[in-house]
Amino acid sequence: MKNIITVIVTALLAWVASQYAWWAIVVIPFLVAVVLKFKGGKGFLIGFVSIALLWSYLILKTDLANEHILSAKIAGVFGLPHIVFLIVNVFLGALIGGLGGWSGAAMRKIFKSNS
Amino acid sequence: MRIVKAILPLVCTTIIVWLLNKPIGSIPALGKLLDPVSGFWANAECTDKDFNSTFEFVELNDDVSVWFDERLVPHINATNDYDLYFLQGYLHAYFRLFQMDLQTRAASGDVCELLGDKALNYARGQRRKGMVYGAEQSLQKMEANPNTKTALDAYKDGVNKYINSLVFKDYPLEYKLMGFEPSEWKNINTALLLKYMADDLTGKVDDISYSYLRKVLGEEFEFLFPDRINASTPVIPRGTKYDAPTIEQPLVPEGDIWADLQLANTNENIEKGKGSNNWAVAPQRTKNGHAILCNDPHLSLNLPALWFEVQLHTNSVNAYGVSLPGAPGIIIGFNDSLSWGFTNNYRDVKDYYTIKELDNDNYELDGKPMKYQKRVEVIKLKGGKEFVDTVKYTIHGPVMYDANYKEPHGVQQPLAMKWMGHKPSNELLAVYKLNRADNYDEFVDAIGNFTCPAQNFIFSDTKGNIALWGQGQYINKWKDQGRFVMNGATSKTLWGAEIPVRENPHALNPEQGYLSSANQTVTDSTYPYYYNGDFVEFRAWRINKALDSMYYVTVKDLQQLQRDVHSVLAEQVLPTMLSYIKTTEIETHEYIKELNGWDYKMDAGSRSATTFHLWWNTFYKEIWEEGFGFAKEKIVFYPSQERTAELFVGDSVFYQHVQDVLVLSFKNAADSISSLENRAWYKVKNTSINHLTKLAPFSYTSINVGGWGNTVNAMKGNHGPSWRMVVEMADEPQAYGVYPGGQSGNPGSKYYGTFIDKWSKGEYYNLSFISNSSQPKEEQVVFKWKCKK
Repeated sequence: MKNIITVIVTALLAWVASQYAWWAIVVIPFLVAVVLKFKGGKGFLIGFVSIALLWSYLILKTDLANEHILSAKIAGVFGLPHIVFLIVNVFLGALIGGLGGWSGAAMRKIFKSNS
Repeated sequence: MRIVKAILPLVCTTIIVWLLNKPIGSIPALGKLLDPVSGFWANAECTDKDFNSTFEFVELNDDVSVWFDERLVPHINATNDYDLYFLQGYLHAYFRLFQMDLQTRAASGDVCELLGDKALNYARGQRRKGMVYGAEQSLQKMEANPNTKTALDAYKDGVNKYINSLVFKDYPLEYKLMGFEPSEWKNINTALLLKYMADDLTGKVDDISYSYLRKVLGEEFEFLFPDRINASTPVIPRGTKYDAPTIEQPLVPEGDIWADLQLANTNENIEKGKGSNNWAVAPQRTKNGHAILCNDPHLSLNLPALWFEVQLHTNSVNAYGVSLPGAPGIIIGFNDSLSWGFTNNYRDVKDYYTIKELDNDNYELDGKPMKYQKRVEVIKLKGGKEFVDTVKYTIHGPVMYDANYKEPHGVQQPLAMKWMGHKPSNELLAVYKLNRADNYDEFVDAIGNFTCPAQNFIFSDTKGNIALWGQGQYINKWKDQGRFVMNGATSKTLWGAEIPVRENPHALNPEQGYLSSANQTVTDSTYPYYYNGDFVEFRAWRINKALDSMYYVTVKDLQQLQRDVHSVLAEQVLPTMLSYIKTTEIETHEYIKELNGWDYKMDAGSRSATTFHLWWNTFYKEIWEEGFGFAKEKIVFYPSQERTAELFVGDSVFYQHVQDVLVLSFKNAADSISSLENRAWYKVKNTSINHLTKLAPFSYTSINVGGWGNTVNAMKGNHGPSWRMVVEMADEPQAYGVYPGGQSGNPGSKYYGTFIDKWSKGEYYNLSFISNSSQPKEEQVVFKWKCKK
């Protein structure tokens, strides 16, 4: 339960911060992992899942409203089938989010040495 | 060690993010691009987007309302010129910003910043031919006139108002893909865009090829490359009486007037075939007793489309038609009283001179040194660097080619170019006045300002008048002046006086009851001034023959004519081709059997059209290649298709073993046909509408349409009817139109390629013109913009 709430809060924070810069999806999982003192694996997972959730939601919402007009074209630019492209797009965001969380969790080691 | 372990992931992540945040080579910044908040997803427009909006524009003098119809055509209602053109600028930018930016850059050669060094040669060429110079000259004249100055300033303010409201998220998709930003709009951009059109339509360089061919062919040259095709049906009908000229045609000067070209052994194939059709039918020939005007300019087929439909309305103007994103006003259209359109008038207004260079600062004229005027052109490159080119201006215009920038045919001497587009001119004033014209006299007064590119202006009004003008600024030339490269070391070859525009060839309400133009020869030989040009005849033959036999003409009949795919070339040459190959081995070939029953229609699905096209073109090439064997290495430039057809079917035995060449070329053509998966004509010619970035997913290819450059429906590979318009000049004009594209330039909008389907089928939209006296009907207004001052 706690983890689900963490994921949702991380996703929401990332969404708000993304209005300013796309790389907020790194910064937010990073900060969450630092503040909550995650271990490496968990940091990655929370970041990955949060951003996967956020990007899936945003992408699906936009894509349905657009009736796939643009995503089909961009998929073509990348030479990918439409559905594969959508998965890759979400995966890329999730991966970056995960890396953010992982990096944040690694910071724990510094604090550990200080304490 | 612990610190390293702690920091390492952060360092790795930072590097990855950094890499995803910037373009690498031609790959865009992927992180930025794929971000669902501000990346390309922000351009994925909701298909039920509500375009209703309220704006506050402090620049406005008064409130303005904009009504959009269901096709997203805006109808701008303002109370004064400034507000009207401010909104037109804002709307153009709102829907078409990227194309305005890119086309301006293409005009001025400011493309290396985006495309890298590979575009440098193109960029230098644009500068050297004086595109920016010419635009500056014209801008001065446009800004000296209070009406066009207001229009330009207001338009610019509107465009910039939109640009300044944007953040990355709102940028047109192409900026995100190509990694650049919109730049501030300036009045010079409009001037550049108009020069770009002028260059596109007067740009062909045949003077060099002609000079070479005349030298090697001697007397045969005039026979193969006549100034006029005898059977031409000119723009201004035969028998039209011309007033006596107010200035006399000069005599050909004595002495050394031609350049002695030193050519290297390169060749270049020049693509022909930009063309257009227009015609007007007088009330005496129409069913409803109103004049009907038609126009379909053939230009490059691109997305976003060249044109943007709009209606402009104030107390002094109420015009509807297509506008050019980047320029204020309506270029082709109609108003409450009259309608107009144009086709390119191919009279030659671009001439070349060899320059005798004395040293880096001087050239020779009449045995005396003359100083070059030097113009430094700075071209911005990718990564902040600059390329500096110094262009030398002579009395004959800028030196376009020299040792630093080689002429593609390999001309060794410096070549200067004299072009009407360098002259200060105000075509925008012509547009401004045309939009407001009420009658024939005002129409004539308006188009008098149209200097370059010269156009055949068609006219009709609600009173039933029709007219056609071959309008542009021309020089009173001696015979053959500018047809060949001239010797620039003598002042005898200088351009002389300008022909008064009132003496341009024109016809008003001719007895025949119709007028038409399709890029053919402008006049018969009784026109009192000399001109040469690059004219084509096939479409004109078809149109004139069709109109000549039409009575009780309706809008539908004329729409049918715009769709016509009958090949006059095939009609002229195919029977002779077939009779030559009788009793040869190919007579019983299945393709030949098909051709025997063919109706000369270049229909989309026709296989005979494919066979004929490939056979004739292989034959055409073979026969001239053999005939010009001696010059093959130097130039690929053959007599026109019209002249070739005339010689081929005529008595003239210009070639000994035509039969053998026909059989051989048929075999070659049949070989390539048999390797085709689908022999349907549309598959072979592949009419395509490419996005300006050439990205295939944004483009439409292999469109199911018939026709070719020499049929009325001139659907070529990347050229075709860029706007089809038919206007019946009833008391309230009834208009129909379609263009290959959509109002929105955004590939993520449902309004992006909306009209292409109808366009390819040859169907039309009813244009919802809101007349002065009436309020719009409810179904005419789907969205509204309220713009408050």
